[in-house]
Amino acid sequence: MEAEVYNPASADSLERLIVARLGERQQKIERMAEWERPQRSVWLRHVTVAMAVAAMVAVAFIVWPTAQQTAVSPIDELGIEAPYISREYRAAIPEIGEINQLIAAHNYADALPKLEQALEQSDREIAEMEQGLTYMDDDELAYVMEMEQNYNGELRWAYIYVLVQEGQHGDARAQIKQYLKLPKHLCSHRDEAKELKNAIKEK
Amino acid sequence: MGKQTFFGMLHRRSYTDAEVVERLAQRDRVMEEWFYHRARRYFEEHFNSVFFDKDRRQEVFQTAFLKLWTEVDNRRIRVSEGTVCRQQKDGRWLAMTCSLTTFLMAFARTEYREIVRSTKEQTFDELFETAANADVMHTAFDIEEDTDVLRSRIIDECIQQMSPSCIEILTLFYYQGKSLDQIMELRSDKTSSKNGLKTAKNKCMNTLRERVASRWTVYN
Repeated sequence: MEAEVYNPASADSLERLIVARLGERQQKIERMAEWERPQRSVWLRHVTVAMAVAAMVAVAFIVWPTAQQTAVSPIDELGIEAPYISREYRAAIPEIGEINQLIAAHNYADALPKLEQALEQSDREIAEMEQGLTYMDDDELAYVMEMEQNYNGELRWAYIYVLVQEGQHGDARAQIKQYLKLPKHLCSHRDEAKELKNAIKEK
Repeated sequence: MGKQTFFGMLHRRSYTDAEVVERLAQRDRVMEEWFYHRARRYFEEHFNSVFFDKDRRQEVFQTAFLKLWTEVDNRRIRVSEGTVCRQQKDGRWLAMTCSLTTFLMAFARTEYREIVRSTKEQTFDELFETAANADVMHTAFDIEEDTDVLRSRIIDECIQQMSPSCIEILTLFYYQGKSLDQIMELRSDKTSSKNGLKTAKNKCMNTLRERVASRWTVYN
């Protein structure tokens, strides 16, 4: 009676080769499917969760008691999480680590000039690419442009966050206006930005 | 060339096709992913079909990419003396004068035609020669062929000629070790009965074996 499950031990050399090549093909297909999934590192997920827990602890034991006497930032009122600029594919940009550390330490005063500089640089690079002032071929240009626009979106959101925390609501409103003009896929904090815009307006 | 991380590779502006082929042949995982994304972007910009939805476009691209990748993997496309070349069915090695991405688009157009059944299928050799946009060098490359690589290539090409249904059944049963009952469940909309599935499985494998044996005889 023919087996209902494959028995490799009964295979001849040709069949073993065929199975191996079927396997190679399937592994390639699985890898392509993996590459199509949204890129998000496990490490970033862990850091995001850890930061969320730390933020909750800080609110419970530090922020809440002092908030009784001091003015509450719109960021805290709305429960907006501190941004974290992804390090994925950006190992050559050390400023990102510095900015993330400053934001995590609530050192917004020092984070602000670094964010301004990084944003200026990113805006400049995007402008150069839009004007074709690069040596890249078309498909490479499109790819690098998208990466830079993603980075620019993340920087701008972090900048907005820090401006509001520093009480610079006027500048923050201007940046939010710019941020909300971005395409949806580059504007992952759209809803929060809209809420913040309204909160600052009321002030 | 030393190993690079994906992060490092992203900051390099571009790689020559020769570099891509050499590193793909070495099973460089980082280059595989890098080239996939590069090719994907090229495809999205150049594949004009308003008739296809997103899933079908992805299917066309991935089938074309898989063919190109497999050809590099089994050394049908390789680098010789710094030149990317491809072996034709008659055994000649021809230098590629079009880019890998242009050649990928030729594969994609074949997939497209197969799907819409509008024209007679061209052989890949014809596609290769029409994809070239300059004089093709009919230089006889003296490249030694490894027997194992040649066998793998023959099998890969015969697999590609099988119907998607056959490939699926063979992969599920032989590679993934699924039982006939499990395959029935997975293919509930396609398989009418267990006996039908068993017959299809046997027929697919026998056809594949015959084709491989026949091609191997030609080479030897």
